Amino acid sequence: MTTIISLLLASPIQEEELKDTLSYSFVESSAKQSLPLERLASPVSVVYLDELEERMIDSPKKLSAIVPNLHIPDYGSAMTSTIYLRGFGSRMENPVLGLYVDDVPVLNKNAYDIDMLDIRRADLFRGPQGTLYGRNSMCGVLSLSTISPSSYHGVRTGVEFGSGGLAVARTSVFTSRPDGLSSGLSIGLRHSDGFYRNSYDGQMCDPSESLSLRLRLEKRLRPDLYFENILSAGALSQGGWPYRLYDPQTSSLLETSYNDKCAYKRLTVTDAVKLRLDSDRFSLNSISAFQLLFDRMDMDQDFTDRSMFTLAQIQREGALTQELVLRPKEEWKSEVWDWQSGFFTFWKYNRMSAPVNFKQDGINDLILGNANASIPEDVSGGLDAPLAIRESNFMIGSEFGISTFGAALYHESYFTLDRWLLTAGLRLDYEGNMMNYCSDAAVHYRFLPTMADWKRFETLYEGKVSDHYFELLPKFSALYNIGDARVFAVVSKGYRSGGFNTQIFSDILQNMMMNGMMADLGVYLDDPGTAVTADDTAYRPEKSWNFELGAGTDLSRGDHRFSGSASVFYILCRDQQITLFPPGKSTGRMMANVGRSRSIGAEASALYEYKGLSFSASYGYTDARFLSYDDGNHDYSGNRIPYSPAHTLNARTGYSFTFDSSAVRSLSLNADCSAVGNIWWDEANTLKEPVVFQIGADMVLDFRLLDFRVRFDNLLDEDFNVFYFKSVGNSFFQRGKPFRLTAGISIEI
Amino acid sequence: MKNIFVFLASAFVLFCSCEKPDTDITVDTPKFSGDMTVVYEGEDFDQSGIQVQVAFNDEKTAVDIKLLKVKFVPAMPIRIDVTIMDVPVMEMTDGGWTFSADGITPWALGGPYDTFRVDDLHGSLTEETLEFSLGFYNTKKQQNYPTAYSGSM
Repeated sequence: MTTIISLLLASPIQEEELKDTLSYSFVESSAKQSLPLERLASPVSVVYLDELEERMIDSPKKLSAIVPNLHIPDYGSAMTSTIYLRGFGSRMENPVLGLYVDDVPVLNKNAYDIDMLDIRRADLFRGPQGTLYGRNSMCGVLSLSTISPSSYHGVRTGVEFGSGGLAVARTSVFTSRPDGLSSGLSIGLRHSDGFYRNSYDGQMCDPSESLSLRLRLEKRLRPDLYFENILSAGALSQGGWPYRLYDPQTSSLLETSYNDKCAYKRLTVTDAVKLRLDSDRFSLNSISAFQLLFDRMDMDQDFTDRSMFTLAQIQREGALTQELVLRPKEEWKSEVWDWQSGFFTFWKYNRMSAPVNFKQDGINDLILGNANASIPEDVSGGLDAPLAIRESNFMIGSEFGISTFGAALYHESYFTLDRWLLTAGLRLDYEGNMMNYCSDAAVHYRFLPTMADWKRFETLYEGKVSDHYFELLPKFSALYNIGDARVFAVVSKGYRSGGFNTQIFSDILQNMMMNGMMADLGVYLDDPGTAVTADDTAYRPEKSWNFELGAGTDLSRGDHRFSGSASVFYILCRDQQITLFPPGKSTGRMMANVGRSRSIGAEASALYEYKGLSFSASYGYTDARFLSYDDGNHDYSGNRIPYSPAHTLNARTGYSFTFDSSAVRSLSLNADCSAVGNIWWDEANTLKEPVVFQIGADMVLDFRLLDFRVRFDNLLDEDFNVFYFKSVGNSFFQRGKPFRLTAGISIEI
Repeated sequence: MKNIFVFLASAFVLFCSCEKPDTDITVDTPKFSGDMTVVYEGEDFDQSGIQVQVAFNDEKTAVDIKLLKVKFVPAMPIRIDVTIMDVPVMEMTDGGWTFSADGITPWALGGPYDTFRVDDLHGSLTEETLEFSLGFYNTKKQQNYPTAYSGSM
């Protein structure tokens, strides 16, 4: 700590020109992207720090729609980072979008909803990035780069207040010492009272507190060796899940009303050591990281005021990653041929505890209800509920130890032939998963017509399952330069990992317990149904081929600047992972590889700037459908893939007035409009959310020493749904956030 | 197989500590498999592959007979295990056994199942075969369901 403080108190070196990197970065941001963006045969959306702060984008969720065809609905809690891109995505398990922070992959989706504190730029590479990024980059990669203390020196601090009791405070110090050690320390605090009220107790559902911290050290250790250490930590405590029950009788949504605790707590720590070795022949980047995630989710799983069942899920996950990227320098490459090769490996271990506490209503409805309903009157002795459980609540314990290991080798070659840039890449990924599971429960039961006493009945389910696979990920692309414009074509493959359905173990044990008690009584159903077992809980990787044609241009004429890009794509997806709800009054959900699907779409984005005027727009269209999907009860082939919007639109215009004043430097006024929809909520396509437009506006008044910022979101207070699901036979929706006003002051010294 | 009676007897010894009403039959008790016919509303309701376990008491004076996963009427949505306990047996000269009883309340669903009563039970038992007939009498509907079983090891 003393070292840290002494580093921060050291005199900063004043290099004013380096501050430009905050508004328009030219510094190479990624060890993995050897080509400049304008030479990438892949559509990329880039948002720089200035725009991030103007629009108060403090979470990856707020990049929705700004990036064409990206939809990250804001529902549930911070652990709910459901990402849809180009028609694909899922609510659970592995995402279709890889998240990298300073070249370090975030391995757990629960940590995707990070506080975007001092993010210098956000690059979203759309389309499969399998060759360079491998697992979970099936539809794209979001690469976040934090401010480097070697590029920016100074102090940044600010506060914000806003609707929902929002209060934010952040401070960052970036400095360099004469001995070449650069350091940056960023701290952010955030509080919100929330936007949704629980009518059961009158309290807010979603209050939130968070702390973010980052310490970044950089130093050139030798002329040929550059060192970086980036330590990040985050702590979060919040409520959430303000779901509203749909009443089919009145076709209306009831107020959020649940009687048990809903909360999420998370602690994340990541430390990355980056080394870059430069020689005349090559540069070798090494990125080593460890990641810790401890979180706890308490959930009233029935989301009603009935005492049915609750879940307390605790995860303790540790992960190690190592990446090596080798790039040639002058001696090892030619004017025609350039390349990069890499090796990536990771290991993570997740110790998860997920006990489900069944309460009286849950025991009656979910455990005994099904059993008693199947007992005929002759046998039941005329009782409505002949089978009884003595406990008013009991626990189904579930403990998991999930170990995942992966390794990959990859190579990309770039051939420059006059106006052509041809790229060929190949990656071989291996991933192995192993899960130990142990679920148990014990109750006392009694069949009232015949049994005089209660009888203890125990159920234990334990074992081990494993799965492993290889994936070969090729990529071919061609880019042709025509002056200021370029056209490209790309064919690439991506995948997202397989895994295990831990959520279904409570259901498995419920079934085992119910059937076990019945068998203990000597009662057997004629049609007990197909029971899910641990062997069924593994799901395979989802794979996709992406075929894309696109064009882009960057024009600059005097004060006029225009850049634009457009592309059309066709994605063929096999073994699509879909979240299924087991039929009936089951409590679980599970991921399954359900068949084949395809997505056809188009994306376009444009930016025009003339002096103080700016206009930008992005639009994405996706027609994503199942080619073959039959869940055994219904054939959904030809239907839209649920949850992913058909249209995303974002348009923004603004004007920046510059003043020749000693006090006020500029006033920037911006307005934007975003639209998302249609969204189909179910596989049968019977429920649909129409296109919803939201208007936003912001203002930045730049004084010499400080900025004053105001941002309005959902100005027209549009009422819309961001999520739908079914649980225990009930339908639930979450409404989107209402009108919000945020105002803040920031100071840069 | 050859020593079924020895096994049945030892099974009884092993589980004699179990208090009544627990039966001496366990999951390891050998099973006969055969056909069962229940006369329901004047028509035969046939079930094949019905398994039956038999266990002697310590003195070999009585047996417990457990019918596994049986139905009494076709429309019954479930199958149940039914145990007829303490059926007196008599050893025959050829090594087999005969048994008969009347008015026994069977055990099912974890206890004495007085919805039914077993009447007019007659049967024979060898190492290889089991045959019996009985009447399941529904005490509430006051209906009798004549039942016959023939099975083998």
